[in-house]
Amino acid sequence: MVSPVSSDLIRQWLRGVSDPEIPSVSVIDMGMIGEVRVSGKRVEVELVPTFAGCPAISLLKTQIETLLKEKGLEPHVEVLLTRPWRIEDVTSAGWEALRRAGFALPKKFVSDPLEMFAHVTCPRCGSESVSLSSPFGPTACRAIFRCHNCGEAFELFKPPL
Amino acid sequence: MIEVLESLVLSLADDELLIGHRHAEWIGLGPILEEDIAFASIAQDETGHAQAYYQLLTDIGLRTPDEYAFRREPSAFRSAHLVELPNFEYDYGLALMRHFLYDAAEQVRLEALRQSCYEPLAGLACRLLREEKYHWMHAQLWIKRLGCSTEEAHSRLQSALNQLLPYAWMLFEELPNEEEIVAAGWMPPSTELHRQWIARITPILEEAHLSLSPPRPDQLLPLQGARRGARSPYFEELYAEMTEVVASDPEAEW
Repeated sequence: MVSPVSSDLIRQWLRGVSDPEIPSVSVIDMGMIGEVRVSGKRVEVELVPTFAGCPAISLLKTQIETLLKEKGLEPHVEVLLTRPWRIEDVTSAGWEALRRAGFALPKKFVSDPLEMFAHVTCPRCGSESVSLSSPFGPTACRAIFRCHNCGEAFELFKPPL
Repeated sequence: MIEVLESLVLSLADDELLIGHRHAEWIGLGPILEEDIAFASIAQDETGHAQAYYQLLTDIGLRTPDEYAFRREPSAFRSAHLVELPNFEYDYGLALMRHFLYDAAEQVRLEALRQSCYEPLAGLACRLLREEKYHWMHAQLWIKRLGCSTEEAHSRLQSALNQLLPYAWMLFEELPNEEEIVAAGWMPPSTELHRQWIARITPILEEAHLSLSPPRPDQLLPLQGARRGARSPYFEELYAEMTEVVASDPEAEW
């Protein structure tokens, strides 16, 4: 059967879906979409959450389903927890959007939390004179810091390591 | 064989669900704001991990996460008694020590499960271990810091350790059908994991000047059978609270 849409087009549409906690970064740029398979009207989408306990998972699933149904398709969204999400999966556009949203970002490819927390710069003034206030924040993917130079509190985007 | 797999996964999932609930009881009561946030965040992770384990069973045609969490007979739970214990008088030393003993066990368990021959379980373990690193960091840093601080902090941690150790020991009680689980390559023997757990906690306890003396058999005896359905005296009240909303309208859609 000839598919009415391509998986590339679906990926394009999914750029309109994002976690309400970080609305400026789409699920595509967050690297949360795995395979997209199209067969006729049936569309299978793999959703790879950042943290398994993230309460936004069911909302994102619903948003994707709603979007695809509105396009006249039959969506099947599979939440994949048997595969880790990695910060390396964030696209360069996503990386930039996270920065613009005010997050400090970890260096890539660290695996030790203490090492990661030791190399953070203030996203507002660029100072390295910062201290960790709390390794846990308002969501699983955020840690709270304070900058000694500009005095602002800020959040580090904290990936599973 | 599916019942054996179910009982293995439930032992992992139920521990996570109940420790998540107990940790969440600290919301609003933490000694400092940052610890309030830490316990809330860890609780959210653990509850999510429970759901992910239950989902492994849903994926092979068994019950849904909600059914496992909210619509089961107490005797069908496979949790260890350590995670059922209440927060009693909200002694933070006790909460930290439980968090430390439990998360050390989780580290050991998840590291082993990465090699599980049951592929979905191995894949999930890889993911969860990456998330759990923060829990383990949090637990061991506080044990070391407080163990080396004031006399009061040290003595409260030591008495928490003495009180909790028999319960933590029984996290590694032999599972029902363990021979089949090991033969299938799903998980190593409990005795092996227990050995690794001791090796994991010992250097940290030493650094915190806390002494570990193995529990006596008469301390362990009353705690036997948890993985076969024997619930602690604290389970009933905990479960009633956990299921209060569901019980108010069992037909409600979420």
